[in-house]
Amino acid sequence: MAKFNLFQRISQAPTNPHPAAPSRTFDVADLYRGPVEAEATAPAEQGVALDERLRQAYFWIVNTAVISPHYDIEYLDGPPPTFMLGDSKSKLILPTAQSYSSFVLLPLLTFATRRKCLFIGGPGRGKTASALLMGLLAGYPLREVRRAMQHGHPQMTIADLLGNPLPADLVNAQRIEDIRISWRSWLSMRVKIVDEYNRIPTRTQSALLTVMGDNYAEILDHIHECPESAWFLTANDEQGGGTYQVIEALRDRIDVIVQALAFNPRFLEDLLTRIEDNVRPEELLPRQIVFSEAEVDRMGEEIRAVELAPEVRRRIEFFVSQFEFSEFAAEVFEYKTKDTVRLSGVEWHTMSALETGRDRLKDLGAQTKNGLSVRAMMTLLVYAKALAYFCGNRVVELADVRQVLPFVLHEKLVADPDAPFFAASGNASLRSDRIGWLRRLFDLACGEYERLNLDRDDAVRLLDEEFRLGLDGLNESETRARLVRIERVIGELSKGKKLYGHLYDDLLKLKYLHQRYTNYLRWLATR
Amino acid sequence: MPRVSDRLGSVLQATRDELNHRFADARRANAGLDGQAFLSFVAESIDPLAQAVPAGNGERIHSVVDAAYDIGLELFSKGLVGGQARSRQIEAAWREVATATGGLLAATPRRLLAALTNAVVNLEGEGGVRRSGWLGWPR
Repeated sequence: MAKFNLFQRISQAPTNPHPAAPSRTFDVADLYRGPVEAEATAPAEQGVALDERLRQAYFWIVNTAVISPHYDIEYLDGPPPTFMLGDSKSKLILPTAQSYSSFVLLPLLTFATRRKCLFIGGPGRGKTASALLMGLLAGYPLREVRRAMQHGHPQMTIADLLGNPLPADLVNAQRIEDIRISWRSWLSMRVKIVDEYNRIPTRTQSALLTVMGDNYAEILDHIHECPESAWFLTANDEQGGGTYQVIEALRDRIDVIVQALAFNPRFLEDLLTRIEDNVRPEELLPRQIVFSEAEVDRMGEEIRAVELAPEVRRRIEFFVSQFEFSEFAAEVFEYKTKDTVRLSGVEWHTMSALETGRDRLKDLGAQTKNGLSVRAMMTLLVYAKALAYFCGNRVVELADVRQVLPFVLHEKLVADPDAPFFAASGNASLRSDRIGWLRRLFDLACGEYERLNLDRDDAVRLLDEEFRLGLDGLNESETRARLVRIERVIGELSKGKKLYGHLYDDLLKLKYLHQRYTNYLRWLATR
Repeated sequence: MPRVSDRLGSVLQATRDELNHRFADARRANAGLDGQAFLSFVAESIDPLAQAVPAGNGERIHSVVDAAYDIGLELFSKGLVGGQARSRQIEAAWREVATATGGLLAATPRRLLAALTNAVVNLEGEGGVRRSGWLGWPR
């Protein structure tokens, strides 16, 4: 009995105490919703905030279920004790604030936001076990989660994945719509697990893509609508090194990638205890950390309501601006992007060899072969909010972005291993360490942002703020004055400077503003 | 936060995501929009419209709320209604005139509210007009 309780014990609230910040969410539900919920949405744990329960779930998993003593998401509230070790002067930091294991935290954030997470790493490191726990958090019985888990294999057909037409109907039906389909039950679940997805044949991957991307399944013109769900996929290697190459569109649908790190033998005693006590943590999940469908809905709303201050947003904008620009990709200003190079089929190194004007060591854009998609940016914002929410904050801090960014961009930002940056002293390991590289990239971008003093001296932001006040009532002379100001700023930006990615995006923004005022001026003239 | 009638409440509940989305859109264009103030406007000026729809036209409540929310949000964004407005004549016209038209409101809510709003704005621009007289006309 005592052992049973030991494994079912959850951390006491508050797990990460914070003063509550008022929410600025707009919701018409405030006009009709009262203290008594019309539907039974908050069963057992009414009174404990959802973010608190999410933290309790986290601590239960790391303390009891997954023995994962890796604190790679480091938070600091002061200078940390730091040690330099070995010939390579490897840095070991002891975090001064509550820090987390990405292998548990990122899947939890995926569960809370109903996104898609890929576990990578060698066999037997807990990838599938962690995915299974996410199904249990959603309240599904262990047996149901196990049965619903899709196991990728080279013979997997679309019927294996989605379902079968009823044999009797196939024989008797006169019309295709008369054929009834027996859909696989996992399609209706709120947590979907696909084990070893890189062993699924390409054609079946396309069917999986439709379910993952568009939330529906199709067989013989019959459609099965799937609910919004959290997805957990596993692969021994995210590079497509499984039996089949993973199609790019499917890989692009994955929001975050976490690596199952190696087991530390110093924790072998914990494994021994499990064997001797015959304990399977997944069978002992405390009911307090099970979330109903409505609670996950509400958690999603609360996460979306977390604020992201303009100062933090500007740093993200500045970071993202570094990568898409490619000066010699096109003559037309708007097409000077890496995507233009990719679409043209021109070899990457041919184009990068032309980039001789800028300091390629300093130019962060020179480190990547691509820019970031809108989907990647949106995912970054969602996970930054989710991490802040998990930490008990209602405002995203720069540290949240810094911590979550490498897991979101892991597969999205493709490094150019031939870039001079990787050849520089001390940077060789960043070729294989994507998490470290992406975090360094963000730190470098933030350093450059501060060097340029953009929090205080950003003419483009001022012009944008002025424009956002609206054009209503703006007269002709003021409009003309603003056009002149925009042209002046463009002139200043172009003075003797090399063209970097962030400048390129600033110039495009200024062109946009200029065009909007020009159009407005024409409209004024016709009134 | 003022509560609203069951009639308006059920429409808000059914179209919650859409209405929240519209407000979010408006706030993107005008970051200073005060959500709580707009909700007060909805409770004070749109709820009476929902309640004024005749019982026999119950299926039209959605259209009335939809039109009023849309127009109200535009006016609110321009500072013409709500606590920050220079005058509260538009809201008074909605509450006192539009609600009195019953079937007309249910049949053509957008046209009626737009016409009434434009009339009030134009009347406010005219000197020497007894606005309260105009607003009391349908009774």
